[in-house]
Formats: sequence, C-alpha cells, structure tokens
Amino acid sequence: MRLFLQNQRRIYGLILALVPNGPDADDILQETSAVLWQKFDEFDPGSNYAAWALRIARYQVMAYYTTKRRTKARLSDETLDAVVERLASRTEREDARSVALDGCLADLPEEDRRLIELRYRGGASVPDVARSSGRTVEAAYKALHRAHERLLQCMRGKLAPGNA
Amino acid sequence: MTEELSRLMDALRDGTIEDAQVARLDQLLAEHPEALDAFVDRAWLQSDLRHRLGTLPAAPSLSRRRLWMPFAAAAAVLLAGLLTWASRSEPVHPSYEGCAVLTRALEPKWDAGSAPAVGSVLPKGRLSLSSGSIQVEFFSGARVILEGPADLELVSANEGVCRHGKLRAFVPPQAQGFTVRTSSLKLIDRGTEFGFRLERGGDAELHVFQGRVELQSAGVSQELGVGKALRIDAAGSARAIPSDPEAFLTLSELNLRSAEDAKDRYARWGTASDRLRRDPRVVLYYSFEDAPSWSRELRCQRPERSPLDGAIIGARWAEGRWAGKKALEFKCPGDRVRFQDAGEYESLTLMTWVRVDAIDRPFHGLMLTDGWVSGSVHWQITKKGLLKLGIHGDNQMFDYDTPVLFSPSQLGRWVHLCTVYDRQAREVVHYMDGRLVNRIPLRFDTVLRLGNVELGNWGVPLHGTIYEVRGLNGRMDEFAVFGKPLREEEIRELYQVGAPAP
Repeated sequence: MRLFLQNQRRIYGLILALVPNGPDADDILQETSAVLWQKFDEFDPGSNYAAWALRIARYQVMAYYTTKRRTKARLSDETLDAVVERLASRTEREDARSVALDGCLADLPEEDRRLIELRYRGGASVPDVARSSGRTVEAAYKALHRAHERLLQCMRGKLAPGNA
Repeated sequence: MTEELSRLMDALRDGTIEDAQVARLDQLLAEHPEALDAFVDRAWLQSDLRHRLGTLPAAPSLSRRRLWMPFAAAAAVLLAGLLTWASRSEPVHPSYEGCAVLTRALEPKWDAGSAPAVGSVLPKGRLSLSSGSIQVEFFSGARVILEGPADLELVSANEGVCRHGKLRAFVPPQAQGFTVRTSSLKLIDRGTEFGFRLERGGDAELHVFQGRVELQSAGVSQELGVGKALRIDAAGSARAIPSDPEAFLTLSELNLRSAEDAKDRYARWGTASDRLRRDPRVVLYYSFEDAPSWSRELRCQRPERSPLDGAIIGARWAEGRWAGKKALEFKCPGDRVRFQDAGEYESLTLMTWVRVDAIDRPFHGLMLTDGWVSGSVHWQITKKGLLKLGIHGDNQMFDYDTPVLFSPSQLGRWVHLCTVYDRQAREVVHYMDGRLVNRIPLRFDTVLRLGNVELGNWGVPLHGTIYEVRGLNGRMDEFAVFGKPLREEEIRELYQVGAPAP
C-alpha cells in the first residue's frame, strides 16, 4: 500500500499518457490499482516497485487496446517498453514532486495558470481551451506547451540535487 | 521537437490523434532519447496536475462529478483489496469442530472456562454447570436436557461422558446407539427416552420412559424396558426402584420456562433501550422498534423527523433477538439503510446487535460512510471473519482489524459488536459480546466525519450502476453511534442487558 501510494502518480502518468482522457482512462486506472494490489504477493520486495508496477500498468493498457480495438492511439510495443523503462529509472520522490509542483503553480504567470486550470481542473480538450481563452486551436496548442514547459523547467530547478 | 511532442500528446489525450500522428509519435520516441525523456516528464506532470487540480477539499460533496481522483483511486485500492481477499488461497470447504448445538439455556451458571452462548456449536469438551438447565442437541439427533449441578463431556456427535448431574435424553430412531458413559457405566440407547442421574458419591439412577436402554456395568450387560428404573450404587450393585418421570425436566417445561425468561429479558432490554436513547453521548440510536411492518423508515432516537432517520432500501422486517423484537434482514445485494449526519467527531463508539448468517462476500458492511475520503469510517466484516474498522485520513488509510471473530460455528447467532475510536487515548478497541477483543494504537490522527452513511452495505457511487456485492448477509436489531469513547465496563453492561439468552 505504501509503495503504491509512493508511486501512484507515476503509474497513472503512464496510463494517462497512453489512453485518451475519459471514463476508459479512469477505468484503467482503477483496474490497474486493483491488479497491483491483487498481485502484490508476486512482487519481489528486493526489486524496483515502480518498474514492476509500471510493467503491470503497461499490460493493462495493452489489454485495453486489444479489447477496445482502439488501435488508433496505439504505440508500438518497443516504444512502450522504452517509456516504461525510462519512467521506472527516474528516482524523484513523489512527495518532493508534489511540494515542487505547488511552488511552481504558485509562480506560474496568471495566463498560463488559467490554461492549466482549464485543462486539468475543467478537463477541457485543446479546442475547448482555445474557445475559452479566445485563441485559435493552433495557438492553444502552443500556449499549453509553453505553460507545461514553464512548469517542468521550474520543477527541474526545484528538484535538482542541492535544492531538495 | 518538444513542441511537436507536446502537441501529439495533447491530441492523444483528447482522442483526436490520427494514425499518421501516432506513427510520428512512435518514431520520435524510438529515435530520439531526449523525446523519450520529454514524454516521461510530460506524462508524470500530467498525472501530478490531475491529482493536484482534480483533488477535492477535505470535506467533499459527493455529488460533484469531477472529484474522481482521490476517491476513485482509493475506491480502486479497496476494490483491489477485495479482489485480494477473494483470491487468497482460502480453504474451499470451510470446516468447524462440533458435536452438538446449545439450543436453550435457563439461568445457567457455568463452572469454569468459557460459557457457550445459546445457538452456538459445541465442540468436544466439558459442559460444567453449577446450576440452571440447558438443552443440547447432538448432531446425531439426540436431545439432552442437562440440569445443574452437572458435568457432561461431549466426546462425539452421539456420545457423552457424565461425571455427575441429571439429564433427560430424547433419542429418535436416527440417533439410535446414543451413548452416555460414566467411570463405571455405559448406557446405550435403543430408541428411547430416558432419565439418568449420577450423584457425586457415585450412586446412579436410570429411568426408562420409552423404548429400551442397554446398561453395561462391570462387564455385565442388561436391557431395561419402558417404565423401569434402577438404582446402581458406586460398587456396581443395582436394585429396581419406581420410575419417576417427574424428577426430570421435560422439553416442554424447559421450553415454557425459557420462553418466559426471554420475555423478561426483552422487557429488561426495553427499559435499558429507553435509557440509552436519552444518553447525551448518543449521536444516533436505532432500537428497530416502534415501526409498523410496512414502514420503510428506521426512526432514530429523536422525536422529530431528522436526516438521522434511516431510509430502508430492500431490507425486510424480521424477528430480532427475542420473539416480538423487530429486526431488519439484509439478504439481497441491494439491501441497505441510508442516513445522514453532519457531525465531526474526535472519537466514536459504534455498537450493534447483529446476526451474521454467512460469511460469503469479500466484505459484509455494518456501517460505511459513502466514498473513501479523509474522515471516512468503514466498519465491516471481512471474508476471513475479521471485524475491520477502516479509517481514512489525509492521504493515509489504515484498517484496524480484529483476529478472526466469525468462524463458521459463530454464524447464525446474535452477537454484540462494539468498536471504539478514541482520539484522546490514541487507540481503537474492538469488543465482541462485551469482551475486549483487541486494542490497536492509532496510526495517524484524524477527525471522523460521517456524512451520508449506509448500514448493511456500501453503495459507493462509482461510475455507472455496477456495484460490488458488499452487503451484510444477516439481521440487525439494534444500532448506536456515540460521539464519545465508551468505557469497557459500559460496553459489558450494554451486552449483558441485551444478551438474547443467558
């Protein structure tokens, strides 16, 4: 349970990046939690929990692709493996990320923050964000990218060794 | 390139991505290690943001649609826990040890050891009564009324050893061969009803009221017929005496007397129940009385209507601990009672009289708050037969479990359950039938909030209308929530005044 909570966002991150937003994504998140819990006996306590859990999350996503035949959003198995491996190799702690994110959201320029809120609190699609912020869709993509980049840059700074 | 990646990820997320874009994303990730890093960065950030911005304030309103994150995630963990229970290797055929069932008891005083409750399965071992009478139904079908002072050891489903005392045995044909032994005698039933008395000095009397009994003494066997009686002294010499059916309590006498005893107990409980509903510490009290059988409302302690009045969904009125006492029966997966309470509590005491008929579901809800968020309280019985108090604090959760309380032989009888969450003493204490089961130190500090609550089920509104089967299989006929920790002796008293039988 503790291990799960410490890695929950990373695991969900994988799923949310691979499955379109919506009830299906929510279902996969839940199913994955359930499977992780159910199979916990099979986890070797000496090994990397994140790697183990991410592999299971990946299977859940693949199972979803298969059952829904939603091949449209499907990345190749090799790419999935590479993503899982890269994500598992990251060593940041989620509680530290959480603190960093709070600080970075507070520092974010007002307009960027509004876009992020629209996208994540309101669950708006990019065209919706465009409408709500009086932009073209093209401009909305760019603006969202900049907002995310600012957040990531800020978080990298806060999470860099020496700043922890 | 990161802008392109960002755009592809957004399109995937919105479900508007096209096949060519998927192929491009795949290519970027395969060929550019820095794209992989950016993908991972962005993926993790998206999840962080969704957690942060999708999160609710501490006391969420459950009707909001987008509160899913902490709620659904935790629910999923619970659901997962439930799957674990189901999948852990448990014996496919549950077993229990027993020879007989204790079906009646009239003012019994037990000598030593634990006093079995009426309705419980009796394993091998001694029943030692200093006074009072009990009715024991052997699995073979033989019925024995034992009058104290008496000592009868159950050795099998059709055999007992008498050390002293008076018993009357009714043996139907299917239990023929029912045997009572003493240190020097062996009585083998041949289809009958008989009385047997063994004095402490070793003198014994056997009275045959119906059928025949074979008596073996010092290697000699004889049969005794209807209306015959023998007195056998400690040395083994026997002489005929007049048969005296009046000297042994009959089934109907015991039945009549225990029915009166039950009526007295019910009345005594009624007085105590009236007192309890006025206890200032009571947040909620259901006596399950005063309701017509068509009522779909479970009235709380307050004279005026209140959100604490339970709405009965599915559950049916049934008989409670005593003849005439009302209870609600929870059988179908949808059965439940819902109420609402706005309080916040430092400490809580949960108390109920419940008859668990089966442990056949991953969880058997006693009282669960809707959802699983900070301050939530989940009081339930697990598939393993543990009593569990699950508490949710900010981002933390812990199950305060008892050892196994509901073994198969504990099912089908009324039990008193009480659990105290004590924030001052920093502990959770569980009780069963007035006895302390275990104490567990608090893992973290949190106030408790009830909000919308269910008795006998957990109807957590996840997506759609698919629910886990988490209902109670059994009956409930008293329920209380106190806003304070009750003391051990108070809980013992609550049990004693509510015990359905001695």
